Amino acid sequence: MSSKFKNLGRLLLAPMATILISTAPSVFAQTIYVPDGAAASYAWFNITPGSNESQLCFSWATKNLDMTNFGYIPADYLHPDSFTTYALPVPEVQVVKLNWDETVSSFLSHLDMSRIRTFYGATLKAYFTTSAGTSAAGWYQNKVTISGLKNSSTYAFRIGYDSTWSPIGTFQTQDPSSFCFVAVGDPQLGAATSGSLEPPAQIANVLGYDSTGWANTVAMMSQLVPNASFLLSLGDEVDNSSSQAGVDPQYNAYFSPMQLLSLPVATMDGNHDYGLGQYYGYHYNLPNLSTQYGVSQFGNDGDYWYTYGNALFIVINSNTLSATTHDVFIGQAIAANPKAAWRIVSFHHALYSDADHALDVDILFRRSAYPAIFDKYHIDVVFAGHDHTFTRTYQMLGGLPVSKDKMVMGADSSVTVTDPAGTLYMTLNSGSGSKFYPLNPSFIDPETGVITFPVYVAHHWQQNQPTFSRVSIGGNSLSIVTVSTNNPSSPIDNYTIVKSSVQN
Amino acid sequence: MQIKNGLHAPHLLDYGGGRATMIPTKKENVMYGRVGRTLAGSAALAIYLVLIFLFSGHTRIHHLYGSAPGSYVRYEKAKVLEVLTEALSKDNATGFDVGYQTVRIRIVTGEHKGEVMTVKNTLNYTSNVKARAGAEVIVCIDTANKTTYEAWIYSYNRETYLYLFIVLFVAALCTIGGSRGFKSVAGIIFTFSGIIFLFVPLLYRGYSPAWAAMGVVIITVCVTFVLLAGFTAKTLSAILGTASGAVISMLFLLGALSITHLSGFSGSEADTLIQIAAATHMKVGELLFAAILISSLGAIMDIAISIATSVNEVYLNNPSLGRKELFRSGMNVGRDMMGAMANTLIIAFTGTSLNILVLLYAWNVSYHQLLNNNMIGIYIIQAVSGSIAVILTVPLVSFFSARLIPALAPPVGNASGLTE
Repeated sequence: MSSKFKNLGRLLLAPMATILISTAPSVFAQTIYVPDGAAASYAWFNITPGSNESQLCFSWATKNLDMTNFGYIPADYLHPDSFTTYALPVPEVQVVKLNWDETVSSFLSHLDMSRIRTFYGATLKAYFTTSAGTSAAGWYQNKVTISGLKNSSTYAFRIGYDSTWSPIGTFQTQDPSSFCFVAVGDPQLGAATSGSLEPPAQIANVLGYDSTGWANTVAMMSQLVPNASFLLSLGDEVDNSSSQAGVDPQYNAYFSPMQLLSLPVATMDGNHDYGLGQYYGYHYNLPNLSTQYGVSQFGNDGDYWYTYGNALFIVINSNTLSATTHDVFIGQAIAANPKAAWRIVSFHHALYSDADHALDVDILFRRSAYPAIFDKYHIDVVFAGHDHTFTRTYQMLGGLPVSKDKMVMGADSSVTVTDPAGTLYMTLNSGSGSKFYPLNPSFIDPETGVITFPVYVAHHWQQNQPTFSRVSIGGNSLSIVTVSTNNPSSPIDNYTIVKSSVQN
Repeated sequence: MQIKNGLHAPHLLDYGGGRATMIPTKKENVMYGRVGRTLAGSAALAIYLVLIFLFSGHTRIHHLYGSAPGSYVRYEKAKVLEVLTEALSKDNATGFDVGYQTVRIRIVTGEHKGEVMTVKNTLNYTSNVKARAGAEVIVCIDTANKTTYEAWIYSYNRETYLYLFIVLFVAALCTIGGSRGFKSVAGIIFTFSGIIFLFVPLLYRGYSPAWAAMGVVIITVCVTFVLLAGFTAKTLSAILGTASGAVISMLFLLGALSITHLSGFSGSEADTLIQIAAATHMKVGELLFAAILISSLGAIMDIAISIATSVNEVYLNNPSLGRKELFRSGMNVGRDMMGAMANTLIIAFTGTSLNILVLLYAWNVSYHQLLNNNMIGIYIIQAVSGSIAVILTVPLVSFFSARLIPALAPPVGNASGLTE
């Protein structure tokens, strides 16, 4: 079967080369999803970190496809999966590693087809779940995983099928021995509603406002942290969870920043995403996604993990009632990566924050159930969102602040802690600025007016500005610097964990 | 005693707090009548409770949590057999014991009944159950799949004590309150169960919270007053006064919330409620209205029955008084009460809003920003509409009492009750 492809490839070598060269490398731009748009166009293209730094997971949506456009489909590339038994066209990704002095144009003008590597994936029919039931969403997800990537390189790629290709895009790989990533909380496109004490209450074009904020933050992150290996997005990417017509424009807005065509994003299931039922899962291609643990009744929203350098990233679905299911998954992820020096867990519902959700019943339940798991597995850092505010805790162990005496304050208000006990819990503010929550009034003494933060809060910040964090891992330290987009040169928080046991 | 006019129905018995208005021929009839009525009432309440419980059980609820098939969380009773290890220290700030215990427990109820497990018990500020051998606790058993489950100690088992406290309360109420006390208990059960098993499921089924709340108000008022004071003129006056006060409050609320653009979506739980509203047919926007209406019901009922009873007493002591004098008496009683009642309502709401007021200083918030903040708007409207309802109930109940009590009460002596 593969020989047939080789023959096909050789037959088309010359014409394809001509097509490649004559097709000016038009910009690989994001197309938005249009309910009755062109059949073969793609939309919502996004990249997720692969299982390790040499892999990447691609995902994109295509409309109802004209099956006659596609040629022979190798049977071994059809993956039976739990959601559809369709025989569908096989999506492909072609990648080329560009040399250090090469551009896409120069590659095309000295075309060497043998440098092109092709990867095949799978297509899934997408479904939307409402209270009335499940219905076809009208588009297909295309998932392709690419591998064999070299560090610190630039790659050209294109996506498509047998003879229908997108324009050429590029992405960069970084150096995993000393790398950084960026992180944001709740982009929640479409949520510009008013919380308490929040400007402005009435916005004429809510989605436009959020979209601008999101595009601005993503652009700023790319500009200030150009070598970020990926973006960690802590859930609630969109707001609407009741109808496809309501949420699709928000997905358009979320995927629209052009930097997301090159920057991998690790997303997770927030409460708003979870409200979409299984629809959420069709937007992303996640590495090592569990179909057993962390799944809800929808089945495609389980926990996943990936590594990058010496760090293990575990992303769990905190919408599940059971915490034990995550206990098992985290154990398995760690067992699969025993040499990982840093263990970072992310999920949506922050355990130790201090804004609107801090005292919610479901948050208090998770605060009783989750920390024991993180203590058990010696997790270094937990990232979460949901509370639309910035909170950094002390190192926490057994639900109590520890290692306070090990915190050393630097001249620039930075805090460094060496060989601390326990786990650090970070709650990140909205990355798009669509919604902010103020400090929970329960933490203000009604008699004196003094703000008494809960015991676990080491630093709190809320000035109703979008924020993002840069997390750097290298040597024997992990540091988290958080800035607000209106004043990025003056960090709002700077925290470093040094572990002497970590080798470079 | 003779029945003077056709307005007096034989069942208008005033059980307490005044003279019997009709003395039956045989004492036994009173007893049988009373016992029979109690039994019938209790049976009716029991049937009602069963029905609404079934109703709530068959209401589709939108679950905010997800669960894979075979994964679930249960809370069960357990007994602490032995504390195996303990590493606790005293926390300076709170005086709590904090740290860890390793505990052997036996599960007493549920799927794993009889099983002996060893669990790690964490003591901190969120959860501080200090296990001791023999203690009865509640454990959370978290099942990931058929073979994997874990347990942790959720709390002490307080159930016995809580039942005891409730029994004590009921006993005190019945001992000191007598039959009235017993009826009060029935009224509380009725109201409480109605809100939990009838009103909230109705919201999930998409019925208008405003009308459902109005319905709850009317039914609660009728049942509670009739239970306490029987089918008398004063009960009727109180009911009519409360209902009209509630209606006026409703109109004011509707107008106020509409003009100020506030609704159920303006509160702090709005985020979660919107998700539920998206999946069910619940009308989240009207929830605020229902909440405010129900929360001021207590004060309205209180003042209504007080005025009606006072006017009734005044009339019984001097049946020659006309409508105008009775109305004036009601108003006099009401005026004293209304100030206190309005204060109660406002003080209650100030308790929470105080935090926001404090923010005025702490955050240097501008006056206009604060005053136009959603929560402040809600608090003010809540306090004002409740107070307006209380205030307007005074003349309304006085009016109804002044007319109905003389009209419907049997004449004592020679007054027909219709003199001007």
